[in-house]
Amino acid sequence: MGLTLSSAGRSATRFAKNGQIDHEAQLVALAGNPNVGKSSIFNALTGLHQHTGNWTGKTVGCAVGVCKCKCKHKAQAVTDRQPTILLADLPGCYSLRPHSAEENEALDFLRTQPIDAVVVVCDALNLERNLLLAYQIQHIFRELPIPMIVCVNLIDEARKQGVEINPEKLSEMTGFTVVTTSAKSGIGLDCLRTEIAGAVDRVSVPNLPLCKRSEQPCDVPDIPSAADFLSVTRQIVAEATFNSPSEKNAKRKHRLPLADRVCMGRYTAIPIALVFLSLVFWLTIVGANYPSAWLSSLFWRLGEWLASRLIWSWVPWWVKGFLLDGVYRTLTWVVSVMLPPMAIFFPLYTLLEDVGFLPRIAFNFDRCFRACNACGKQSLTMCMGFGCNAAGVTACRIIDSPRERMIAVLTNSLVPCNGKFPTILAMVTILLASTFAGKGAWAEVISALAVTACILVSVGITFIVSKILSVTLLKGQPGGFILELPPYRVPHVGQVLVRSMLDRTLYVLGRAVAVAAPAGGILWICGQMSVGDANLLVWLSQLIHPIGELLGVSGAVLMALVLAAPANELVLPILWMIYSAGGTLTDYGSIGALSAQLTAHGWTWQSVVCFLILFIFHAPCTTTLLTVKKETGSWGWTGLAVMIPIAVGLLLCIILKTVFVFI
Amino acid sequence: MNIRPVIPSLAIDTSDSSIPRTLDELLPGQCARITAIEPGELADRMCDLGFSVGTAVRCEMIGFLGDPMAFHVLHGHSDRESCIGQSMIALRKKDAQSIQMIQSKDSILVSVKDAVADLTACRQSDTESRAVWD
Repeated sequence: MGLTLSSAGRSATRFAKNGQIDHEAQLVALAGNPNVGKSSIFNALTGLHQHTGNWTGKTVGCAVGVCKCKCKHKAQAVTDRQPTILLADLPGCYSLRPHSAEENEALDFLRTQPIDAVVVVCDALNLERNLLLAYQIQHIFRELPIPMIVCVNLIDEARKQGVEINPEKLSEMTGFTVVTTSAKSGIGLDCLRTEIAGAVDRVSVPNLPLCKRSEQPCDVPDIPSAADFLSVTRQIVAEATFNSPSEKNAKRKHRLPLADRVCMGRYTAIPIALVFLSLVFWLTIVGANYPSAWLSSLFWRLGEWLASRLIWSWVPWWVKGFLLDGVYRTLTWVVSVMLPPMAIFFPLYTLLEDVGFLPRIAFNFDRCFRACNACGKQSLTMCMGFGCNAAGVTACRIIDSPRERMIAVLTNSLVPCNGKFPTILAMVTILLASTFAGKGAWAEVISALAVTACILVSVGITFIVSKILSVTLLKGQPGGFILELPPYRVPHVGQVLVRSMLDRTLYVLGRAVAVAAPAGGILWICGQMSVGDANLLVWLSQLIHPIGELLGVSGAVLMALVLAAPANELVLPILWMIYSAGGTLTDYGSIGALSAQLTAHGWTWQSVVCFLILFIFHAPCTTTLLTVKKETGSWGWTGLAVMIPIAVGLLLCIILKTVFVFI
Repeated sequence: MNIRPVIPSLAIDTSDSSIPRTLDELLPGQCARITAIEPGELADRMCDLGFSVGTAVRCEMIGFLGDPMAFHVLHGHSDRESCIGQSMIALRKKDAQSIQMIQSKDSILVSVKDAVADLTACRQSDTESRAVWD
């Protein structure tokens, strides 16, 4: 498994120049099992030279980059120009038989794109299994063979265990060109570049996709299964590898490393997983405070500077108001509150993924999810959902079974994302201040516990809703859960930071900003309009106040929840705006000021609790909605994804309201 | 007494040799060799991930409440005594029930043919005498 690029951030990275495929470009596909270091090879060969663009034909969710290697293209000897070599990082897959979405994508890419060569990345300690993919690819291209290179990666790890690969023997027995590499230490990469350049050089047939080149129809070809090749690969690997066990290896008892015994032990597994996850959340919340404040003040100063420019004297007042007080203010609010937590959470999460800890989490929690007829991998999509619901929905691609994937997608919005944490913290502080006045040092601990309680409630609700969905709308047998647990590896910190920033953080932020900007303008317009004496928003909230009463909150809260559809961070500012009858979004200043304002509008501790419930369980933000639509492809399921959290929120509020009558 | 010499390190559990044993019965630390996989949806997937007839596996860990289980799939050569690679795969108990295996004493690898031949020989000599295998 592994959260590959396609399941994480940028869903469609395609390449073009001027809207056309560069006909001088040669395309090399990089395939391989997950967890073999394919991304490291890809990053090493392309650096940061990754482009986005448009392929003609189907959309594929894999990254494409320009490979930095020189070659002498015979046909172009006259012009002496280097053709571009594009490297396409296919999603990691164990075989090309279509078991999961990622394998379908890889197969699709291989058949429909004009590929000139294929590099199959293998794990030196797992050659038997990895070579199966190479043979399957060779089978696909059997009528018009293209050059194939087998890159045996992770040879440093193999050497540590005393295993050596003989590349010449392997090459002789398989017929593929074999290069041994270690992406981490940089061994063998130059050799790989030379081989790729050489392979591309030998291609004389012009680029055409396989389904156009050969007589094969473009529907799914018959791919041989692993069993067909097994005896062959076993024999080959046995001949080509040799084990020189050192003293240490010979005496080494076959015991799991300590890390695994602790992380997957019967009684230590779940507590350890919870500790790590709590650590990640705590670092995110605490670490994001200072950058958020700093960004806020930066944008405010910038806003002041912009407002003082003379250009505004040439335009009507409402243009300035719309642009500065509406669009700019909302945009900068969203960025300053959303960016820092994401910039901390995503790299931390990607680090855990790189280390190899995430599959262990899926292993530990599988029992709980099996009880709900769902998949253990849903624990990972839920964790991602804590960072950002939209990213969590995209991450659901790691779940093979469509039924379980749908359950994970629909229940993802039930967990609070990073954007909700500051508001939850603020509200919890207000709640505790009013009930446990003056507890001092304990106040922080109790706040932390209360936030944890909120999270546990949402996790519990996720389980319940998953179970309900699995017996009603999404009935079916539990799909198989078969997961590889890679050995712990030292993560490439630099690569992780860069890739998670570019692919996940900026991508999600970009989407949110695209929605927040126009929403800000609309908010400002609403704030300026008035009905009779009162502000439009204030009037509307008074109108819907009776509905709010039913749920234990005021009409302003409902207004704020609806208007904050672009981003959850906007709920508190909008609420403040309505209560202060102002026309623009402003910061509420301190918790004390907020508390005073709320009390002045008749809030009690019961209102705060109901607000918290409604805030955690309400319709997903627009970014998440659009992502759900994209992943499921249907408005029906998207509608359900909206209804489920709303229904949960309403139900819980009504129950609480009834309970409060008796307290 | 007709004791057939066997490879000393191989000890096959002959107590219930008529009932095929399945992978979910392994305890952590025990090794086995896969003899058959029931065809089904997951059989293909299992094969892709390395569980196939003749493969040696070692049970490493059983999760909370007995499910799922983690196995090391070992790659080796019939003539040599050590493994040249391994990968750890997690499997639910229910899915492990569809894999039949012969338990072996430790991770010394023997070819399937030898293992089955030994089992047959054991059954034969059992009728003549009870022999205790190391």
